[in-house]
Amino acid sequence: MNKTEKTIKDFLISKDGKFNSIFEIDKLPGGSSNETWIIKYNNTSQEKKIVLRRHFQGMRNIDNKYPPLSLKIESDVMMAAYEAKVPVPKVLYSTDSNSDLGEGFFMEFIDGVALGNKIVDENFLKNKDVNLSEQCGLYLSKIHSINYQKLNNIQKSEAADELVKYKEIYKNYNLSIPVFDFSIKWLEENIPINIKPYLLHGDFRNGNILMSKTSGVKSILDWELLHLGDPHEDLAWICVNSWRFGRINNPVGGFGKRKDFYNSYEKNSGFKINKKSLQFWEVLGTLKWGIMCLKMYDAYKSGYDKSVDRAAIGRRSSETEIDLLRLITKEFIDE
Amino acid sequence: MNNPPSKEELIISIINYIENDVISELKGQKRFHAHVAKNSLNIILRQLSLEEENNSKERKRLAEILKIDGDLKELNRILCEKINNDEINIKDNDLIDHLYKTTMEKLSIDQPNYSGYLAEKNN
Repeated sequence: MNKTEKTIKDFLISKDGKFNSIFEIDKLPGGSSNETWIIKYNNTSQEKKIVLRRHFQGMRNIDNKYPPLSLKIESDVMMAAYEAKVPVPKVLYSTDSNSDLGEGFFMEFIDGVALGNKIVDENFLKNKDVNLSEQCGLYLSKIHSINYQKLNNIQKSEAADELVKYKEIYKNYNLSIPVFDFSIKWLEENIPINIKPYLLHGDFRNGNILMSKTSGVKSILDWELLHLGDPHEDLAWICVNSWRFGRINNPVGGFGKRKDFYNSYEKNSGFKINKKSLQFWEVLGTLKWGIMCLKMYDAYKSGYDKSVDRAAIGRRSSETEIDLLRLITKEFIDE
Repeated sequence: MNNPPSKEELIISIINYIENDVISELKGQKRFHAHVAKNSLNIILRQLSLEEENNSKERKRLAEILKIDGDLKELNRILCEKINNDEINIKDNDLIDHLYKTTMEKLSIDQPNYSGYLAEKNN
């Protein structure tokens, strides 16, 4: 057991004697601003797991202008979501920035499938009464109904803010990708009017939603992009073609139909969805993913991450170009 | 002139090696990276056969839209500038036609199995 693993074990034992039985601690690969650890222990002769999320401790590729969200805020919001009956892992213990582990929190481990390409398989669900799109509509409405007034320091980012942020990242790379400039111009001409801000998940898409074959949505993960803003942003993001994993005819995450998702959301929230706003946010979402691909490639170029996939992902930005053109110039809503 | 194999043959031999001998031996992230490496070699292979023609078509269209000549990189820079300055309207049909064609040409190299590319191609 190395030093970090020992620190994790000691911290947990100080909380509960059952953690004396910890027998394995693993850091999951990946993650740019946060580390995720899985800790295994035995309780009443059963193998159990607990998860640690904490800020990345090694060399960091920090974006000073847009630093990663504090894990204190992330865990506060997850706790509020838990209270609001959103399926989300229960936060168990928090650690602060002065502790040996740095800022982070421990949460329960929930079993399920998060791999997008498995979930879009038509044979994934064993229970045909489950409608994943309706569940997503329901739980997204619950997230948006969370009263954020009692939660501190949550940043607001509305349509124009999000657009400026990604335009700036793109311009900094000094690349000439005409479809991106074309899309940015279209977005600037079509910014929706700001509405009362809601608490948004910020990354609500296939891949961040843990699913079970029998009951559907089990847990909503990856809250690090949460912010206050226009609910259409979350409603559109899960429909971006990049998250349909090849199933272009199932607009909701590659697994469902728009009408099930939107009807469920409207019925449970009382909110009236605006089609023009959805189009704006789906275009912006698609552009964001294209720019994120360039950003990940930049991590390769700068020498921060020399892996073969960080190099290759730059070429995936062109996938978003065809989606952008189709979203902007053709009849927007598919089924 | 080099003796055989051609560069294409060399790349294909590496692709086959990764596919037949490497991937099955690996697990987890290493296996994923081997898949990505194979995909990257396939991109290079397609680029070797398609790039020259794609670029010359793109350059020809750009020269017609912009009414100037220059290298591809410079012409794309000027097109972006004109879009940003409203010197070219984003509703202009020649512009939209050019963007579609260029994007489809790019994807024929980068990702010819992409769902959006196939949907547009079969349109």
